[in-house]
Amino acid sequence: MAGHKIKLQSSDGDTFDVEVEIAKQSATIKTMLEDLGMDEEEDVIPLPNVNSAILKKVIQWATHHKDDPPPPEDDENREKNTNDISSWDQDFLKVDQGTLFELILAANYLDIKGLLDVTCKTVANMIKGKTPEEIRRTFNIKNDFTPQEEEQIKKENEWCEEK
Amino acid sequence: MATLHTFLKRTVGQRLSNINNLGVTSGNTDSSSDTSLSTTERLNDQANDGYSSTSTLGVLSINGDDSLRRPLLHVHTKIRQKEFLSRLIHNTTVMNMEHEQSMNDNICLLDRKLPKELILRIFSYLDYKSLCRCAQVSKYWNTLASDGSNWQSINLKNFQRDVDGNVLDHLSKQCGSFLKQLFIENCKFITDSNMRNLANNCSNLERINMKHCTKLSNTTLHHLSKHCSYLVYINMASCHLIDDQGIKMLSSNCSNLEWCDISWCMNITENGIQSLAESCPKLTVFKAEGCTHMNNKAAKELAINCPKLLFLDINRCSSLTDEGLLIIVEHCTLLDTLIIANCRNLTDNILVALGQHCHKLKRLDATLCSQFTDAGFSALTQGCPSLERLDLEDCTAVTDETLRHLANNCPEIKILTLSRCEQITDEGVRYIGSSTSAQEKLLILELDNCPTITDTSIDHLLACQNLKRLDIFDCQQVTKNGIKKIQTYFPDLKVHAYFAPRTPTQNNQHTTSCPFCCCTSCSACTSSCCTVS
Repeated sequence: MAGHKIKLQSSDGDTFDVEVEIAKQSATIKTMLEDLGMDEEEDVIPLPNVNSAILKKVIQWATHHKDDPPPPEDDENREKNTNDISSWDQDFLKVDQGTLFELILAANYLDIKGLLDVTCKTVANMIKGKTPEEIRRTFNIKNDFTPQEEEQIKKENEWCEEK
Repeated sequence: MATLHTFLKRTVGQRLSNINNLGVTSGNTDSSSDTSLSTTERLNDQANDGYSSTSTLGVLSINGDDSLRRPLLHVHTKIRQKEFLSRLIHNTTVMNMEHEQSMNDNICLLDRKLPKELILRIFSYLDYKSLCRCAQVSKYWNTLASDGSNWQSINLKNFQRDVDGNVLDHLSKQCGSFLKQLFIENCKFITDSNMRNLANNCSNLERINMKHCTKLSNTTLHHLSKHCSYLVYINMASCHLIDDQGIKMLSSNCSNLEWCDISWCMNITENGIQSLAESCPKLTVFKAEGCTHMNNKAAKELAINCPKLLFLDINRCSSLTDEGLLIIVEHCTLLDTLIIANCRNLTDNILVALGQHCHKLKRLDATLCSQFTDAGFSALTQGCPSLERLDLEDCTAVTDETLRHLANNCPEIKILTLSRCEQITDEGVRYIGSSTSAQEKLLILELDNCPTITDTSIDHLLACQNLKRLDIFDCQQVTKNGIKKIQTYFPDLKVHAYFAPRTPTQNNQHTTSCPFCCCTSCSACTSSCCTVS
């Protein structure tokens, strides 16, 4: 089976030849192949939720990580550690916010847990250590609290700030 | 295929407008799924509206196309399966581009692009402080940051000085039935009324550590027992106000308790311990340090009712004698940790019985059990080959003979405390140093205040290549050269050596305490007191 390829079609209609083993990092594609028997060479898997630019990035990521062990399953006692992003992934994710969020959506839709984890961690790192105002500026969020509401919310949450 | 079909049939059949994640058949995308079915059921029963959707990651939504609502199981052929799938995919609208473009560009891209479930997944990587700051960003972010799925486990230990009751009230409202673990050790401002609110709101609580919350009384246990019947872990050490009445109320409804610490609750008597033991047969860890009422009668009840006991800490339960502890040793044969320090009435009978019944024993703390002798330890070591940690501080009757038995019979020994065992000589240390298993496994050896130990002992220990710490302070006959020698051999070894008459300097090195138990040397602790937690 080594080198056996399938075709993935993006929302813009471009097709990409991808090795089956690389494509199968997506649990969604894996399920399609296994449950629906779409394994013939000429089959094209349509991915209407992913545009070409993002699909290209996803394939690039999956190709780099093809030999990774399967990521650990989520459990409620999972470490909140976000400092374990490899330097390759860090470079790979030096993209604008729009692309980053599209990658999260694609990773979720394609069910690629490793990519979903690393992209979500990257956004979490953009939040950590910032004040509410800095977070608003980072993500362009409008403060829709009235001054009274803001005061109240601030009071409710100040317990975790160092004094 | 069957699972996918069932799933689609269920989802579409219920006319939900969202299909949450095509990849659901893989079963591992469920970010806040519960480990046990019963918990999931509970959550489903009790979760407030809106919470239930947080358990799935959803982006794929289907338009209200009637053809998709028809039963799907009639699709048989491969072609029709493909047709269906293709149709399903093409009907999806992850983002409505026109809609998006019509929106003001100034509005946050994150909020616009990502559904709530994915933002919550991002938030799942945030610590409390970041979550509390996110809650102040905007109304939408406030809702997201307050979502119960972020707050299944709360540890306020690091915030103890600042935590007043209002914080807990606010958190318990916010967490609701999601909260499973709460650690409020040392939060001294927490009152019974805060705990009432907590119990009311957080009925799925499974683990609570309220050690040193000194304002809490029986009333707290009353509310916990009334609402939190899933409780398996409770630490109420040093909650002095609690007495038998509280324990009775708690145990009457929390029969799942597996872990209970009542250390220093001086008002709990044998009657309270009896009701706990009778109602909680699953108890595996019981700590009652300093409970002067932990007497033979209480021991008997514990032995008869709680045969699954693995960890027993009865440090300073000075009224206990052989009679009571023997029944425990005979019944609780799974014991892997027994702390009987400062129980000075105990004799060799206990060690003999341990050797006979408790073959899984890994840790024994017999500090100041001064009636224990070589004969007892000979029987113990022969019956308990798994021993990893042995504390014999101030067991003044112990001689080199015990070390010979230990070296011969207990190949797993990692931590050995012989402080103030004044009869130990270089010969005893030779047994340890020449045992191949100790050479490999021994991590910590405390020989302080053993007056006859000399540099010869140091030479014997050069074979113990994994030794991490050696205490030989106040060993008058050990010279600076001896210490220098072993330090040269093992540069990473921590040697604690002070010479009289200089007063030993205080060192805090091995007093980091772990959040789950009261043992003070957890950095080195390999026993189940930490693994159980």
